[in-house]
Amino acid sequence: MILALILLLVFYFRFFAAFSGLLILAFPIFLNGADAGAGKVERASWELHRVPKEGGTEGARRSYRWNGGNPIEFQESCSLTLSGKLLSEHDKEPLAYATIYGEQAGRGIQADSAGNFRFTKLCAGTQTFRFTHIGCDGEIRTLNLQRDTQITVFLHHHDNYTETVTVSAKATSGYSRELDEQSTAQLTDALERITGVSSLRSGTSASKPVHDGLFGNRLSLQNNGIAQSGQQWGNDHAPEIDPWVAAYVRVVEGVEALKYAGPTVAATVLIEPAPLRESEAATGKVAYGFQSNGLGNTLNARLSKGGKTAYRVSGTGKLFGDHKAPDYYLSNSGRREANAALQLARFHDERWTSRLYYSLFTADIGVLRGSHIGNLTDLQLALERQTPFFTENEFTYAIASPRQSVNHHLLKAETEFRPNDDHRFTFRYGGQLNNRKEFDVRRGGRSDQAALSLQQWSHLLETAWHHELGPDRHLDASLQYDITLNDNQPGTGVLPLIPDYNANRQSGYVAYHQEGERFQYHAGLRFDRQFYEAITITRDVPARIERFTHVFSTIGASLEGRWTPKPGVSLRGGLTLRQRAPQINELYSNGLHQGVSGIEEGDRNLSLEQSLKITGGLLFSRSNFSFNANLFVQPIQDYIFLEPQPDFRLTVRGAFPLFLYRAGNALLYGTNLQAFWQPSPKWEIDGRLALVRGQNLSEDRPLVFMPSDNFRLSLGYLLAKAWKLSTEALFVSRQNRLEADQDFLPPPPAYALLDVSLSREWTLPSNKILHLRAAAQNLLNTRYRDYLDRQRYFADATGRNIELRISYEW
Amino acid sequence: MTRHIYLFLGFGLLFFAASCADDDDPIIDGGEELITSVTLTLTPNGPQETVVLGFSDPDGDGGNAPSFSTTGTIVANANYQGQVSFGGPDGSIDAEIIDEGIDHQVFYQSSGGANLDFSYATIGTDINGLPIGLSTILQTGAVSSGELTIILRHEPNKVAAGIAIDNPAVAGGSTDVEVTFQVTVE
Repeated sequence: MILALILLLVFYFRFFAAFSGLLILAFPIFLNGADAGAGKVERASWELHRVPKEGGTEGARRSYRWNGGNPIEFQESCSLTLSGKLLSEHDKEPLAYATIYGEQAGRGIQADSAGNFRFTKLCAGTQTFRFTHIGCDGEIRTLNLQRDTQITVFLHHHDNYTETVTVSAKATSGYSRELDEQSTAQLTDALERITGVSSLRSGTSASKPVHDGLFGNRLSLQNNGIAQSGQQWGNDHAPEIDPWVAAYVRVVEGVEALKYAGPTVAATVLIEPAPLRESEAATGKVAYGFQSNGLGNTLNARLSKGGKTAYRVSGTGKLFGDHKAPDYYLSNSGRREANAALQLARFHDERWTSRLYYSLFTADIGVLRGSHIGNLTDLQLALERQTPFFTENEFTYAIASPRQSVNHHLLKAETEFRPNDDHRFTFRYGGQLNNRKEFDVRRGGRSDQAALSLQQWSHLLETAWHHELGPDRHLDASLQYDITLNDNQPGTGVLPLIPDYNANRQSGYVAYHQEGERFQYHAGLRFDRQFYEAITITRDVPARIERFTHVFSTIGASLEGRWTPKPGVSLRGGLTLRQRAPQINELYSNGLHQGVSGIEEGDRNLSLEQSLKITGGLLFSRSNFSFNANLFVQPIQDYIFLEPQPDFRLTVRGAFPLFLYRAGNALLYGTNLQAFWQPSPKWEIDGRLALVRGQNLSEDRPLVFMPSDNFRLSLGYLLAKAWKLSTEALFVSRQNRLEADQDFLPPPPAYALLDVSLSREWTLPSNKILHLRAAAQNLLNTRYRDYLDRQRYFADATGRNIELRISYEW
Repeated sequence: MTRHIYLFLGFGLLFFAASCADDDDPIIDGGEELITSVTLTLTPNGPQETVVLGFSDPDGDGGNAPSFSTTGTIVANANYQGQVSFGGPDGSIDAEIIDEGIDHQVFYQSSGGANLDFSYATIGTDINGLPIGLSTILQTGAVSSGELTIILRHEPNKVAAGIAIDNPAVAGGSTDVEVTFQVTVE
């Protein structure tokens, strides 16, 4: 896309005028000087195409193709053969021992170790086949068999079963269909399905992922390859991403995670839309979902088309009113969202592709009225109540203060150039604008005046190089530069908790991947130089402006290996060293953090946090069974935490606890176990257990906000006529590893939730698909509170929710 | 040839080291809603002297610790008219509280043995005839000492069951002021 290129250059000009000439000069030479590469060309590296379209010239790229065999007019009935190959959509790897079940034939067969299958003795006529592979989303195909037929089926891998291109053990992806089913909920609900991921919540208003006990500033999110900016320090600030746009959600660690920017000490969450393909036909999808809890309505429409210039546009609207706990309404917990995204790709020629992506997220989010408190006495009173203050007996869609109003723009422009088989260059610009306004219940008609109003600009420039060194070896390298300008917007009438600041960062990354059949190893190195300028307002009278600058240089290094002694068994190990620069809230917070009823003070002398994460894993898989176990130990030196002080700080609203940011030593360790069993083509059983422990060694007591032990068990059953029934039970234990003075309330008791869903997909003529789904979350209307939910101080979590969803694809 | 171009490009990006700072100073607009002072003036209905209890925290939450002041002596077995006043950086905010009378109520609690009996004055009610509580009547008891806590609640339920001048707990709402004075009745 020329447009993408222009944008890239425009931004380059704007911010790097002095050096823009270089890139402009470089481009034409670069294009002319390219070798005439022939043969295999790696186009979009994560091609995905789920819904096959009929016919077409590029049969091999499609999900199935007819083999132009001899047109035998009258084949004797029930002697036809369907043969073919099953490949992974992600990396075109054969899917060994996949199962193929013929609905009309009433029997199933299994593919061989190379993914080849032969289904014989089929009758002529319309036949429906279910293609399944462990860890993949099944595909249902209806074929009108008239002759022996050959097809290639691409299945999409999901979840931890994937042994992805890199060794990163946790490379985990949810598939768009699964995400679509979740998309009436929030992004973290989809993320929670990844083993080892929990959510830190503020009721229904905000949720953030927690992975292996780390969250917020220590777990960065990459939205379409760009580190999600915004006020990520706040535990009540959800990442501003529309789950409808995300086709892949993965958590990557180790070498793969080094590639991405962001203050992370181990893992990174990747959220990616489905890539565009040149061969994709024009498709569209409209989906509507209704949720009984909150009388929620979600409508999404998307259109996409392939070709030289491929595009996808998506729009989402959400309207939710007050949610309901089993016994009462959660007053003022409504939500409104309007999101849009545009994805463009221009396949200039065999060697050159440009892409543009823009997304807009806007939301108005109500915060439970009863959770707004003025001081500790109020908090104490609120804690003692069964039903929160200000609970109304009537449902409403209206959203009053306290509330949040956020919008987030993300623009990404990149151009990828492949001069020959061995090299791939990508130039990328990512720009984000984040506006966050938070409204409190205030005196003097100020409730409509934001109490917190922050605007953040961030720009990223990146160049990446992918170099194939051999059939199983490659090198990745990148350089990044980014700047962030964070400003408190005037007019709040409140001294800001977080000062204005400017930051910039330069980074370099290099990784080597060796991917043999039996041995794989990966090594990566990253360097960052982080600069901050904080512009603070002193608290003495009269207030003065003070500026402070910091420079932090950090390194990250990772080494991982995998050994596959025999097919279906592999052992993994990894060692990752990462340093994390203190973030602005840790350095400069100053004031009352209303959300946590405490005065927080940063420490501008904090130094780097250093983490070493050691991981080990075992994967065992058979055709219908897999078992995946992961272990980790992560000591962190100079771990930054909020230390409660023995003395209270007196204010006009009474005494508040004082928390200071301090550095100490911490140790995290844990395990994730996951088993999947498909006893017959109709049944699927999936169990996942996650255990995490965290200890603050300096204080010799547990770390707060560690997820409770949790176990998820799901059972899928394929009913007649392709109805699929799933049930899922979630068991969460009580968080017992906490001392009494570490929290206002003891952790809530253990709980169990039951979800059920029933869905069916119809393939209509000319490959139109109608999908219906009815689901119930918290079917038993269990009354519970979760330890990681801050709203638990005030109210129960939401009760039963019945969801109906219909989608139509063409 | 191509190899050189790759190198060239790589070096070009190394020059990203340019910095781009926003040099505007932030606008200091904090404090308009802040309450920085609380003053309780006790005017005697007899020959005693006027008593003023003061709380002052000009720099708001955090920063320097607030200061307390007392002028005059509270006399035992006497009757006073109490008037509380709240101030912010821009002056008194009493008018704002009276304007939003239905959303505000001041409570008075004596504890630790102080023989202070507050009741709402008949003047200064909100449009529903319910107390705002800026004006009070104080009847002192025997010689004693203890604490007096003045609480300003925002959006309380003024008709909650059990609500009294010394019981804001049942009223809900959020606390805008909670200041405790050491008092001696002599």
